[in-house]
Amino acid sequence: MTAQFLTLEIGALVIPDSAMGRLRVDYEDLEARTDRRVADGTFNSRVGWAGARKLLATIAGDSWAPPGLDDLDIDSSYTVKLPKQRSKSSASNIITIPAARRSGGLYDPVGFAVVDGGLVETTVDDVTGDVYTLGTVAGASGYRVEYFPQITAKVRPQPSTLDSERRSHGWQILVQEV
Amino acid sequence: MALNDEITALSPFAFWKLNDAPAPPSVYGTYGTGASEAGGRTGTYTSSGEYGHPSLDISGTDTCIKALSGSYVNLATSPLGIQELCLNSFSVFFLFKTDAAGWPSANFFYAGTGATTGYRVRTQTSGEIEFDVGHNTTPAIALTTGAGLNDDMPHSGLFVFDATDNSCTIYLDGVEASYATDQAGVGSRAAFTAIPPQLGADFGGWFQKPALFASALTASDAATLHAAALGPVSTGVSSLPMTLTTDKSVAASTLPMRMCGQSYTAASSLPMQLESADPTHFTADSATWHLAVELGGTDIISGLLGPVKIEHQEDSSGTCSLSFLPAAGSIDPEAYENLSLQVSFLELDSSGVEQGRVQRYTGKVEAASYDPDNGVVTISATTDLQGRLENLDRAVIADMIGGEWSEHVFDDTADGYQYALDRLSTLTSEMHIDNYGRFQVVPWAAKGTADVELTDSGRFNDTLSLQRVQRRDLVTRFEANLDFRFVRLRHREIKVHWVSQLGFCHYLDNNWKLASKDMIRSAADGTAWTRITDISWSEVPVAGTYCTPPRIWVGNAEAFALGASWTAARRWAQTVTEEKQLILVATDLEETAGEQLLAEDYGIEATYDATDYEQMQDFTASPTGSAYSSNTGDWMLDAVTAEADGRTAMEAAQSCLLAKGRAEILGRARRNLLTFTPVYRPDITLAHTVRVNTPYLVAKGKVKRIVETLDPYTGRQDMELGVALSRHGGSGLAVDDPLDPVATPDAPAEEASSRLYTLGYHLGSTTTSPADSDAWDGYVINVGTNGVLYDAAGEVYSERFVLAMPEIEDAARDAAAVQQAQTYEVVVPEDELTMSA
Repeated sequence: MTAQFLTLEIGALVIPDSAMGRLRVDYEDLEARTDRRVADGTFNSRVGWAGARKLLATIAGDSWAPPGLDDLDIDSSYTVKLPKQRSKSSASNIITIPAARRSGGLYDPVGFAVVDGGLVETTVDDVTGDVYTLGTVAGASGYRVEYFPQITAKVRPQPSTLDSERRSHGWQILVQEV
Repeated sequence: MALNDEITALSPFAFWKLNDAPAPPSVYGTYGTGASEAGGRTGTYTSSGEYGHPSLDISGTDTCIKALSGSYVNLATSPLGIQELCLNSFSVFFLFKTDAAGWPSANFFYAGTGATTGYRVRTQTSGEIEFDVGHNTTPAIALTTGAGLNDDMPHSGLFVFDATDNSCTIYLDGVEASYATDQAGVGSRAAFTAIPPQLGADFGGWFQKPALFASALTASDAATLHAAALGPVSTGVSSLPMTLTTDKSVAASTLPMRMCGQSYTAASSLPMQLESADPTHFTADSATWHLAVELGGTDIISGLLGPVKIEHQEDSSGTCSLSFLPAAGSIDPEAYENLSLQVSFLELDSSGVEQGRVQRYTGKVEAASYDPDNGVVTISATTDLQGRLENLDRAVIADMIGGEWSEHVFDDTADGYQYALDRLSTLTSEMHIDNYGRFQVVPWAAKGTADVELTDSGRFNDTLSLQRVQRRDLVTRFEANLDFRFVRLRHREIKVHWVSQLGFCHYLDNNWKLASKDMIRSAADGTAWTRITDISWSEVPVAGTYCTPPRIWVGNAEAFALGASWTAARRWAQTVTEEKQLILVATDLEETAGEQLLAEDYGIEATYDATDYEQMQDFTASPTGSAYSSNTGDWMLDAVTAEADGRTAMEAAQSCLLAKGRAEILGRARRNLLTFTPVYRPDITLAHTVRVNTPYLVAKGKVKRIVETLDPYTGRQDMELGVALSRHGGSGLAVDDPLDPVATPDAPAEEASSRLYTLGYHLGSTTTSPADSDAWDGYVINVGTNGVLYDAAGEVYSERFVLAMPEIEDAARDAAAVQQAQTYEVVVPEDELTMSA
């Protein structure tokens, strides 16, 4: 049985395992939001971009092989399949998750029940569009669905490094959802 | 009129109103061969009736006739002559409603049969409608398409034959149809009496209101009949652009409408968008929003860079500036100039779905620039308040703004914008172009109840600032000095008495040359005064015996007189200047600010050329319209009726100055400005009154300035409000005096001079005669008889009659001035403003 690693795919390019090595993925939700407080201390938040939120993923790898991203066209948009899960929780076992997600094999969304502070994997009984109905678990105080985002993004390589002592190539990219 | 009335008004030869209620004589026809048809009526036919069902429901079963295949309706044969109609001009009218299943070959209306005679209207299986006059088997006289008429909807048909030119005309639904004609059969027409006129043989549709006319009806008749039956001739659907603004948001409205055309509809819906600001959105702790920016009708929001800044201010054009990335292609900044610019604030829910919008700016681009390094176009737009007013007709501006205006206060040659400013300066109001691009004139006065109340939850901290007006910028006292110069036409009358103080007996005793009436008359008419009455004589008595002791007098002296009296008058023009001082005082404001005087001088001269008046000699009474003044003893008429610069114009100028002065005082007093930053509210405009209620300051005033900066890319909304506060700080006891022009003053009193001139006799050649004097007036004569002096050694006078009429005194002739001063108290509003520590 072949060990399966989570992959990072940028368009048709699959970052190989040998380049992933020690992978670090940071997600940041970008939005046009200005937070202030009014004169009586009440919180005041105003959101632009018509309420849209865009994902910024900072992905860094450190491995014995470089990632092979030199030919990346930073002006083009790519379908990027991200290697880090996101999760959505609910008190209900019926949870709607974003449509922009990976699917297939390891990347199919997985359901969990929260039982006594721990996560217990549960079945996905029904999927209708983006609505996931999880199998109920006795004693569950909540449920969650974990999924892997798949977004259309511009990918911008950041400076890469070579650590000759450790014989490792460090690389980093910024993935900005368009 | 209803259809029945319209038809009747055209004097039909026969008219079957059909299905009259309640009772016969029935006008129903009989079916020829079929049984009674549901929806039709069976009964005996009679002569044409006067009965009719008032409604027009051609699909109903009680109002019309339906003839099925194989059936027809025999109409009455009486009145006679139906078949003979075709021998001359005639017309056939009816309403019909055909089944949707195509046309049979059938008759609508038929008066004749056989191959050669009569007339009919029928359908063809080809879908055409045929109107035959002089029916024969050769091609019909007129043939038109019935396409679309078998639509199960009511239609009207009018078929006209004009015997003067053998022409046929077909009108369908009130409009002339196009048709092909063949007049070959016309000559063969003749009345055919074998079969009574029929309706609907084989037709299978509904009929109503068939009528025959013994004349050729016109296109106008066709339209009238159709309109009476089925509504006006269709003109298609029109759309009406509308913009409605309200305070409530609704999804859609329904508007009951009647569509004119071939069918009625009960109601239509008209998609409308009502703009409003939703308080639940702009007061929420967290709210999502966006902008819609249309430049020349094109949405450029996708290219917008950075914030949009909008500024509205009283008496100024509103401005808007923004930058955007233009579409790819050549760039010409000039192409953006003069394009319309609209910016709307969009209220979105958290999913980004629009819930409502409010337009915050409407203007046009004034200047555009391009940054080629960054590919960014920057535009600044204006609502162009000045440009919109500059070339407007003054009457339109006067309607828009109101206020007062006088050519003696303002420049008559000014352009429309200055004219607007001048009118506005007499009002306690401001003007601007609002966020919808509409011209607005809004009073300065803060409303009793504020439109918007803002507490600390509605504003941001450390933004409150109060700027008080400088004392030297205030005006507490406005003084308008207005000189009104005009010509006063004067008319003085004086009674002249040449008194016969010695009497007739003295004459008889002493003798002197009697004065002739001619001489007196000549003297009376030979001065600068005009004699305006006949001379009243002290006559020399007729022949007789007079006096004591008695003396005989021979008489015959009618041409002479002992005395005389008459009235003389003189006219002249005097220049008068009324020097008016109008003083407006804001006493409350003056209590605290002291006297801050603003003075202006104005002059008006009523044009009038008095030359003709002064030179006039031909008059017999005081001038028409003049009035006697006890102050001067003369009749006077002020020449102040000229429309442009007479008294009425002068009083209008006064009224204008008073309004202008008041507005100046109040305008200065409201220069206190409270600025602060509220949580952004898309509902606030320059027409609003805002009350700010904070722990240390409470104030209420009218919004004077709005600067809003909206950045959809950071979500930040900034709004700076400037609120004008009118303050006097005084006791508040002032009361507004009515701003009425100063009353017309009376003529000033003049030193009295006599209106009676008396003169007498000076007799020389007596022992007691004094020396002659040139200063004498009256009759200077020597006593003597027949040329022999009584005392030739005494004082002998140069004989003369002297009439020394008085001169007009300088005080009445020289230019005069009348001073008037009027003070008006003005109330300065005291807007709410309290500050505490």
